[in-house]
Amino acid sequence: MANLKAIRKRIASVKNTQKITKAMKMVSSAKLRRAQQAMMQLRPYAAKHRELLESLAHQLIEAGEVDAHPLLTAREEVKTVAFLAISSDRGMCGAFNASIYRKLAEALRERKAAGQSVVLFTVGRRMGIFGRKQKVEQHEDMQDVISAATQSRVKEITARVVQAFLDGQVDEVVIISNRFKSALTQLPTVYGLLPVAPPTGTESSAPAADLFYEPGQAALLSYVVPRFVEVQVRQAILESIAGEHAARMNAMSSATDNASGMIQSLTLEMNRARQAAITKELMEIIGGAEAMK
Amino acid sequence: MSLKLEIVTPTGKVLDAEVNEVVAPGALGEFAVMPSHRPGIVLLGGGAVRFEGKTSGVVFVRGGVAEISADRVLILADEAVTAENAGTVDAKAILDKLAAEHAGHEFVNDELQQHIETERRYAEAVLSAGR
Repeated sequence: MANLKAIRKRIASVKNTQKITKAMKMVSSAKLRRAQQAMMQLRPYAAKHRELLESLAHQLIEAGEVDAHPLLTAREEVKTVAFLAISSDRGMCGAFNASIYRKLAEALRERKAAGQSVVLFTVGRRMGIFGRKQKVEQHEDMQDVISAATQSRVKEITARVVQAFLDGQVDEVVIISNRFKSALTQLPTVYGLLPVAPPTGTESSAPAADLFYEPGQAALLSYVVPRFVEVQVRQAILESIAGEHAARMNAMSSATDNASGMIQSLTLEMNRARQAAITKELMEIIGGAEAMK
Repeated sequence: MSLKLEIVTPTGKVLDAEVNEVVAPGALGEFAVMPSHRPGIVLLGGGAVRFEGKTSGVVFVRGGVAEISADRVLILADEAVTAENAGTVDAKAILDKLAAEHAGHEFVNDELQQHIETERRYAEAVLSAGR
């Protein structure tokens, strides 16, 4: 039977841990609300840009201008592929980062098997550390993004990635990040960023033919395409941040529950130990009294 | 009949109003929109979007696109600020940055020139509102 004092100490320590996990859960849920709001605010803007790009690209392709914009043009041979992998800065968020690592490792294996070289852009401190351990041709760590996902910082990242594509340094850019499905599920996803595949709408989404364009379709397209890329990067980062807080909230919530369970079973054990000690003492007294007779 | 004017930026909706007339800074010059305008898409520069109707006012935009239909004008702006909040924008910093980066340069290409014009007009419009 474990000794009484050790169990008491154990209970106190578990209680302290529980206090911490409870506080972390509350902080995360407040942060989640803010992150979710930022994510929601971007949505109407993103949706409209998607629609615009769709209608512009649709018309230009109809008109036979296949290579309307350099960011839309797919390379004939993909020699180098760039991954933009997004994680969180901090841990304690369940399998949030591990699931992204797994996706990235899988994608790296596939690309290497196909004989392509890989450039890795990492966002988030955790991903930076993971990226350093990978055998890739080039690794660039984008720092201080998750902690301050401002518009200008996102612009810089996008500009860097777009530049690499335009210079011909890479032939394809792929984003790997957690998509925010709901507060309970984050989905690690791999999807292409560059070349921009114009979202293919249904025929009904084709615009009315009598729209006017000023200054012209090509000029508008060269405004819309870079914005669309930026919005996609921004959306990926915001969703990852919201997902991180959601994941941490869930992880901390179950940690708090586990601590409660542990305290309960430890209390039970403590009571048993105390009871045993009392019984033992009684037996000794009775034994002693018996001997005196 | 009236127009619905919406101004949307990546950080949220800045304006949603019923108006009778909108004057916006197009990339090729200022233009006005009234109800039953021919639908189209216009590239915007920087400057002031003025609107009149049930509510009247000014919103400053820093480049974007406008989607015009018969009963609606939707402006997707990179950045937008209402006249009341114009004080929160450091317009001087934008002008200083332009002056520092492009001082003495002949304009290299249309796109850069367009960008500089947009920035300059936005900053000047915001500044004039602050006065």
